[in-house]
Amino acid sequence: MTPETATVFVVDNDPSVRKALARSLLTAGLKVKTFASAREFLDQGPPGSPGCLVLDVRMPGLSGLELQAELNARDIRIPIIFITGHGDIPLSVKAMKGGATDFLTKPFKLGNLIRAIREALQQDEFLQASRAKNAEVQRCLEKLTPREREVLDLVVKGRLNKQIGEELGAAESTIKVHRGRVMNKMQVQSVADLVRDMAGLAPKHRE
Amino acid sequence: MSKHRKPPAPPDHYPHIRLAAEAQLARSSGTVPERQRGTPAAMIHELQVHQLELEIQNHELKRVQSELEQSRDRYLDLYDFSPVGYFAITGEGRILEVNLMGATLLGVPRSKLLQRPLGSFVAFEDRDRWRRHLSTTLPQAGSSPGPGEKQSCELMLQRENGATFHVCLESICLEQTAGQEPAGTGVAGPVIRTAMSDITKRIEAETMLRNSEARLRQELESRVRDRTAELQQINENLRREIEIRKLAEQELSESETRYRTVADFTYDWEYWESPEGVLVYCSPACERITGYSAAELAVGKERLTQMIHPQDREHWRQHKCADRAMPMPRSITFRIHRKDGELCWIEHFCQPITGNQGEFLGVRASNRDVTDRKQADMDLHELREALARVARITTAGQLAASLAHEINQPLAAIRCNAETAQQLLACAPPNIAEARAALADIADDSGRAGRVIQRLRALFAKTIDERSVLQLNNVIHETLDLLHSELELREVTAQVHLEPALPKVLGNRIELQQVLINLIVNAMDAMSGCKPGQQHLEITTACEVPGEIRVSVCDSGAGIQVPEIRRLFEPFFTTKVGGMGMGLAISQYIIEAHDGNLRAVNNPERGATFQFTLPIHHKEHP
Repeated sequence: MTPETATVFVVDNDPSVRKALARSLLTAGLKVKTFASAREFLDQGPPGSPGCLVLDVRMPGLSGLELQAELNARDIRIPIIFITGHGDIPLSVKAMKGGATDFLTKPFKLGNLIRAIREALQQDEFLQASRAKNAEVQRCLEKLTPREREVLDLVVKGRLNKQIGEELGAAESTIKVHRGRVMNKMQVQSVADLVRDMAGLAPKHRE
Repeated sequence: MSKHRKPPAPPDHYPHIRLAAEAQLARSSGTVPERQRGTPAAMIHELQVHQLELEIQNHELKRVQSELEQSRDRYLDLYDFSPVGYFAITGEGRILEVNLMGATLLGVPRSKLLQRPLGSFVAFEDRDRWRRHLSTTLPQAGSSPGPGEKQSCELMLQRENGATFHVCLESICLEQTAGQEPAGTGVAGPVIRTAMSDITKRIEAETMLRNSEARLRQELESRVRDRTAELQQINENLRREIEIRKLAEQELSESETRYRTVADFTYDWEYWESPEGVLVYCSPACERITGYSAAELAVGKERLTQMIHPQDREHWRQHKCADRAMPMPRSITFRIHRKDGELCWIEHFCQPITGNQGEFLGVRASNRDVTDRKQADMDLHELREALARVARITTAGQLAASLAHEINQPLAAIRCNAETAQQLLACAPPNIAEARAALADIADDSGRAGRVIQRLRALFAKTIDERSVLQLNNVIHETLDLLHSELELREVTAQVHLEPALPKVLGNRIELQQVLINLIVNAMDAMSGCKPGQQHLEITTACEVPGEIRVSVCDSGAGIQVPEIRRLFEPFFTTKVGGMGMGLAISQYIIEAHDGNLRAVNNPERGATFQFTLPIHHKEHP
């Protein structure tokens, strides 16, 4: 994934701002898609392509912050750069807590916005990659038997075969066989790789 | 003549005779007598002189006698033939002498009259009078001797034949000295001389006159009585009228005093100016107010005009021009320079005076010193102005977020476009078309930002106390432009129903905008608790009542609690957390200063409506 294939989604109710941003980002070599309201953005469904969201905070109807909450609720992961005409600290704190990448006050330097957009896109790229990895790990996890999953969880906690056998009430040799199958099914070479893969998963998937 | 010898009596008594005799002798002898006494020649001369003296005396006596005789005859004649009867009577009334006329009057020969009492000829009824006449004529006891006072009386006499006639007697008493008796009377005692004239004709005439006079008098008296009664009645009426008039005069004088007292002791400066512009009356209070006494003000017609502040004179002249034309009481406020140079505000009330026939009699005016009140008014006005400005700034503060947003939107666009244009021009080859489009957008956006700033600046500005002719529909549009982003953010839908043919008003644009902002922001606040999509704001202009326009701001909020409706316009009354409570109080003050009124009502369904009226501006009253 390269920045050139990623899309910058601009949501601002002000037509002048939308038009200017579109022109600027296009000139900067970015792919841009503009929306006049948060509702319009939501209505198009989850963005199919990677990218980031440049979002005005104060808008009639659904505000920028409300859109952020809605996206979080729908588990639509996309980096958000907030732009606002009248920024205050409580507002920016709220935005950052909601996972915003950046918070820019209008009128901002175009360079700052573009830098923020590029950072956001990199983040998205990383996110997209880790999301793909996680999905892979998830798929591998689903191949495990319940006994193998129990063994995996204890291996990740750093238990030795003997300790796992005592804990599960099985012979050390049996555990050794299970461990071999887990490593095989999870497509990892070492315990270190296994631990890294598992840590990347959201907590609910880790249990 | 020697002193030692007694001269003979005759020559001494008649010296002129001796001188005449001596002169005659000298002429006849031609000698000058010797002056030596005792000589024979002297003695002869003396005798000759005596002889001549005697001759002269004799001759003289003869001449005198003849003269006397003639005189006596003349007097006798005069006496006897006098038309008046002369009588000489005794004190008892007996006739001693009578002339011919006297006898003729009595109708008795003169000889038979002597010694007869004159009283016997007096008519019986006049006898008393006669006796009284006689006694008054006689000398009174103790009176000085000599002729007494002349007495007169009128009597009726009766002749022996019974005929009566009237006489007038004039008598005088000649008291003779002792031993003498009146000539030819032969009696002693007082003699009365009486002249008797016949006055019968006169008496008759008099009687006739008296009779006719009596008749006339009777008639006259009756007429006089009638006339007198009439006159008395008139007099009585007059007297009553006079009394009434006196009372009226007294009342008039009292009332004059009363009114003068009222006028002179009025606190305000009162005056009455004649149609010619001369002061007919000027109350003494003028001195307190202007420093000039009434007498100083009475000099010249233009005295008051000269006192008036130059900036107010034109206004005053216009006011004065309407004196005759306007029958209504009018008032005007102007400044004057007092005598001490101080500026003084005068509130002037006046009214033309007309007589019974409607004629113009001048102008009655009352002037009050309102300097203190004016100062207080100005202070209050300044305070209110300042408060209104604070309120505007507060409003602007409340709107700061939306206004900042409103300004920052175009600014953000401008910045992006500017930096992009630079990049577009820096490319190789430069993208001039796109750069031009960017610059055009910059121009548009900077204009938009400028307009927002302009509107904002008006809110912060100190109001210029200036009114202009306004189309209120435009003011409403401007206000909505200013509040556009606030309305949008609060998701309030604003509907406007503006009367296209709305008449213009005279007003202060900023102040009226302030009222509209206040009402609209209040409406938005009132609707903040509503569900999304339920916030409807409706602004209406109408001209339904002649002479005024009406502006309504209607919301769909919770409405106003009934007990609060009355207190809404009180200063510092607020239902908002953090509200100052001045918005509506100031709005009401502004509308009332524009001769309009502001009120609030709850809508039948939901929400409240704030409504204000303003008078229509007429061109003829600039």
